[in-house]
Amino acid sequence: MRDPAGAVGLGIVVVFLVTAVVVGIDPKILNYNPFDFSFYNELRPPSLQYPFGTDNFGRSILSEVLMATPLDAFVSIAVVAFSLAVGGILGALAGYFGSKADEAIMRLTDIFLSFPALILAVGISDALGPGAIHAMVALMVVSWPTYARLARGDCLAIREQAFIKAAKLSGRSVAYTLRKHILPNVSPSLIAYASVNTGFIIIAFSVLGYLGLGAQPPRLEWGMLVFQGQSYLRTAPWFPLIPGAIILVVTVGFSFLGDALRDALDPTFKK
Amino acid sequence: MIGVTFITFIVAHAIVPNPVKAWIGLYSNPQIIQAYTQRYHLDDPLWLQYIYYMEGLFTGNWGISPTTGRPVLSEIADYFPATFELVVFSIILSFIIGVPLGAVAALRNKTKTDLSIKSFYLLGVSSPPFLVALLLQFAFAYYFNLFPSVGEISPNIPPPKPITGMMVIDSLLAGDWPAFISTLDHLVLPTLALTILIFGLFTRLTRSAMLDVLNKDYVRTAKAKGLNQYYVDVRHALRTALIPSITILAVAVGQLLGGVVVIEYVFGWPGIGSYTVEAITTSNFPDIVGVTTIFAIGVVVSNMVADILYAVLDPRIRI
Repeated sequence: MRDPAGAVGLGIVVVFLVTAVVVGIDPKILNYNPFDFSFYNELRPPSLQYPFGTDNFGRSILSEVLMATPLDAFVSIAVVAFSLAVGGILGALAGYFGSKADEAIMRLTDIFLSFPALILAVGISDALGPGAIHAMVALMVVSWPTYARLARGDCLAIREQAFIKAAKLSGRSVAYTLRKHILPNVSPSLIAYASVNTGFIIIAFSVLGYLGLGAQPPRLEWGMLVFQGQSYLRTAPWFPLIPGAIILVVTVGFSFLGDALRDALDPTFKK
Repeated sequence: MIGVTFITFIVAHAIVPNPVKAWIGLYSNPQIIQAYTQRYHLDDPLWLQYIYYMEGLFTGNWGISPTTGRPVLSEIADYFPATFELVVFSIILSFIIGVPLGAVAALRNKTKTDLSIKSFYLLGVSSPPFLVALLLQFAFAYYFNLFPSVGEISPNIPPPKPITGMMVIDSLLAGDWPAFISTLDHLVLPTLALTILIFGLFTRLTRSAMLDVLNKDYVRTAKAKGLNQYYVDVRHALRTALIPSITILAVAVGQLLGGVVVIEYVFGWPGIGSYTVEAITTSNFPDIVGVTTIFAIGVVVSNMVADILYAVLDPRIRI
């Protein structure tokens, strides 16, 4: 691959997804028992036996991080898929039809975009009540407008081009034009953005988890782990810092992947 | 803006059946519940509640906080200056650090410097806020013992006279040196944390704007004329490249406000962020609604400021 960063990103994402799937399908593979308190092993620093150290109950942090992976993966992918579908379609429609539809949809996105995203997500999540599903819904609501904006922009850009007009003139139905011509040209930037966005959704979801609004115990989630660990920052810094670092690594991976995707999918990019 | 209040309201009210129980806790009895319900109009139909809410919003009556019994607006006013101080300093610092880095990255495009700058800001932007905060706290407050880890001012130093509510400014204005040193000390870590999260925005934007400008004709003309390289770079290219940074000011504030919640909580900074966290953990609805509204207002205001700055700086645009 010409792009080392992209390769690294792809690697990280693949590891992340594979872990998520494997652990998601069969959690017992990790032999993780939340009640396996081992008071002798409390708060041990990373070692060969416990690569990420242990938490305040003596449980291996590596296991906890791995156990939490499917949840973060699932939520972020679900949110992005939803936003991609809803935002992409609404945006393309807005761009294609213009005037009234465009304005209406744009007003709607404006309302959402005028909030700091995280704050709105916090508000919605809180109103719905604690729980991973509610947090996921909150993030979905907050994320789709950006995709709509992107799709609309791209759509507007290509709308005037010859092949679109040709399709219109040849009497094709709107749905057909959308499907065969508009969407393939709009998708590249959306997909690249989706990849980068996934990382940020993970961060957002973990912040919600940190605040107590996302996943609830005994469900494990990276943000939650950080919250639990922060009282031990002084004595056992690996406890809150390592899960946080994992979040960082995964997000960076998605960012690299997104950049590489954008470069790869964009026909006008000269290398 | 109407949409904003509407959504805030829906978010805060529509889903929870009876928050009063959560507020009163264990000692409730039917009379108290009744009184609270009436006072907060909870038994009225939803649209009527909305009218009350809007009415309250405009007259400055944002409701009474159930936990402390004080008006929400005055509580927010109490906590606001601290956050404002933090946000302003962070934006300034991000700008001072971010823009020059972006310019340097553009000038040294495709070199190692460029690459390292890019990696640096990528790490900053991709970090979860709590990681940055905790890492800084651990490194500088505990390990190196350089800066205090929590609070706005050390407990043994009397706070300065509250003029603006922002302790750093107040202590400066009052000539109160011990307080000034202490508040400045406490300001460092949270500001640094927020800056790390945000400066990447400025860097990336400045870099691509500079790259664009550097290729433009008039820059090439200046170079061909043999003008001093520095003169060319700074005077011509940078000026134009600054414009996008102003535009993104509003976006930066938006991101900042998101991170501020976590950062304030970790550093014990008594601002709106901590207030928000406390409101969430106590299911404190008027507080939450008030806070969300304030955040939205903040973003709208910073948008306006950005627009004004933009019009001032770009001679092509006149209002």
